[in-house]
Amino acid sequence: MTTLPALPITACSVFSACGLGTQSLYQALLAGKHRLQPPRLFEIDFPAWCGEIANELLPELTPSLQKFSTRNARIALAAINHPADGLRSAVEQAIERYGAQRVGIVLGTSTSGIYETEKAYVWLKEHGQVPASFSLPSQHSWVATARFLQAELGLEGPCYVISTACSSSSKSLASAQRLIATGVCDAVLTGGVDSLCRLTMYGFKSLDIMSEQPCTPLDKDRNGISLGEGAGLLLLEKPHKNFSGCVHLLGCGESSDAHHMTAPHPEGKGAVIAMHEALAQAGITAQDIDYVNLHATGTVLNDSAEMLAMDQVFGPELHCSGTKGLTGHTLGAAGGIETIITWLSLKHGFRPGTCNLKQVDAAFHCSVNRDSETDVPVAFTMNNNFGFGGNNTSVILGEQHD
Amino acid sequence: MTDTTTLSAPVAILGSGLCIPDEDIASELGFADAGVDASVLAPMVRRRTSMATQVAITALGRACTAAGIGHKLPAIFVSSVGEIQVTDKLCRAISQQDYPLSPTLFHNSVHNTAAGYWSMATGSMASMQAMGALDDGFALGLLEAWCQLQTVTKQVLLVVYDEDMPEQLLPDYAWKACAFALLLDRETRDRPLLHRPIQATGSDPALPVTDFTARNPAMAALPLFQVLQQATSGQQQITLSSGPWPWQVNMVMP
Repeated sequence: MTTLPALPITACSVFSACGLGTQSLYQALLAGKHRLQPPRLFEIDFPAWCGEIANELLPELTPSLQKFSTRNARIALAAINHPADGLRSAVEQAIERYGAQRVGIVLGTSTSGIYETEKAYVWLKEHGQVPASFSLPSQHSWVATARFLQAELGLEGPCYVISTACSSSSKSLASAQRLIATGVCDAVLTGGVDSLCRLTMYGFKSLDIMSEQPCTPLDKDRNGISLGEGAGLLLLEKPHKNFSGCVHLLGCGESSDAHHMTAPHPEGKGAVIAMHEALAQAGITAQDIDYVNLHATGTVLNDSAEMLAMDQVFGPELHCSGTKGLTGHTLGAAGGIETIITWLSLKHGFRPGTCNLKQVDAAFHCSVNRDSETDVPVAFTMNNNFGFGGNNTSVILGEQHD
Repeated sequence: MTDTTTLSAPVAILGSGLCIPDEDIASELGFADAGVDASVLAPMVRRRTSMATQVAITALGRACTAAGIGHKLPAIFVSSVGEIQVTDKLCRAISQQDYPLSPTLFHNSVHNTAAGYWSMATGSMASMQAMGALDDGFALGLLEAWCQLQTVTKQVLLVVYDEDMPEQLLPDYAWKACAFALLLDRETRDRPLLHRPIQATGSDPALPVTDFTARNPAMAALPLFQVLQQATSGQQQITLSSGPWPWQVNMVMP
């Protein structure tokens, strides 16, 4: 279909087990040492590692917005407030520039406030009702965290959430892009946030895909995922010459496998469609891409299917890596956080490595980076995210491209 | 950027369908034959899927049947809480430390469960969106559809749905399952037309105030579906959401 306009990313911020802010994430990527540990937030009855954010790092919500208080909202607030990334001030400037009704928010999340809902059910078991502090609309509903950020930042434009499991926040980028491309909004706060909870921890355990060690995506001996949590938030604006130096969102591709609720299409057919669509929308070819951040969850099936798809789109010289060994799999936030990793790749001219990788699976043909490479030319990047329900996305960033 | 003349370009409704399993509610609202018909799903899949997934798929199937096309199109699934009955079961199990969890319940708890099953049943490899905005959901689903139609697709399916709410989670309201679906097209002109949804900038006291969340946020689609059913030609403004700045859409019936 049509090429959409390149949209500048005028600010972004990130929070994960690698710390708060894009600079912390960049340093962690360079160091390549995983930040996973056994969960401390709650006890589980099996061995697992996860990328957890320490409770004491989470800010409290302002008293007037307490009804929105969830782990999810607090993680997002920390990223918004991080001074060095300047996301809050960029949003404020956008409101000043365009008016609050012209600034929207489209957020990805898979968990929303389910961690609080789990606690409400413990109370329900003991007291026969959920606690008075529990609010289904403001904590549990999909849109809860987006409504919090809307109120916190004084936004008045469209406010909604995308929730397609692990592709949620890359799909939110695609929706934000369309809201601006069609002139509905002048700026959209987008990306995603997800938080650890028992439901996902025991849920992935029930599917028998939780690694007992820190996960090792793309390794020949990979044996499952490690979960993570975090936020990756980006401000997209309409093009302007003042933003020509910004990294731009160039294209998004979205597709479905039509195959299985949890297993990927064995040849990665849907993933290929998403990657081709993103390239077409960006108006570039596969040869132009300098780095791909893979979805690379660390399960045997997911990584194999993705690499088969990569072979159909790219040649063996393509550099790629997976970063979930560093952060854990942040599910609904993965698209936001990993798009920011490709943003860092463009900003700093580096290609991240694959944390915890010892020996790459010999079946993979593309060039998988084990260690980070610095001082390399990077003009165009792609980020892949694939979710349950066979939901696929690819997001291309780069220099402004006419 | 998109030419400003496209800013309110209307899109056509080629087909519509709804599902209201509670016969009393359906007949009170004046809709017949609104029960569940998820025959597009294989029998084994049907047994495993929730009311939320089944009402959404039923309404989508009816919209496609009415239009005579559509199963392979991109689709947008709008819901407030998605698979809330499955989530209720999982949260109860967690509160009782009743492990391991059911793997089927777990993968059927994701918010794009209905989208995943629809894609598998129809073989559609197009984009499947799952989005939510509570009582603004139908309005913003229409806006998302409108944006997709201006940029990435000529036709798109949209369904807004929610299922029965577990009583203890929202004690003051009784949400009953329902779903409303539209098949929208960018180019056709001799059908009911919808302009771009817009948000009221100031409260208009003349507008009727309806709390759509009282019965089920998906009921925000009801005023539009009633206009479709009445099929009186002409143009009118339809309220799509509640709140201080309600979303509205200008609808033109042929």
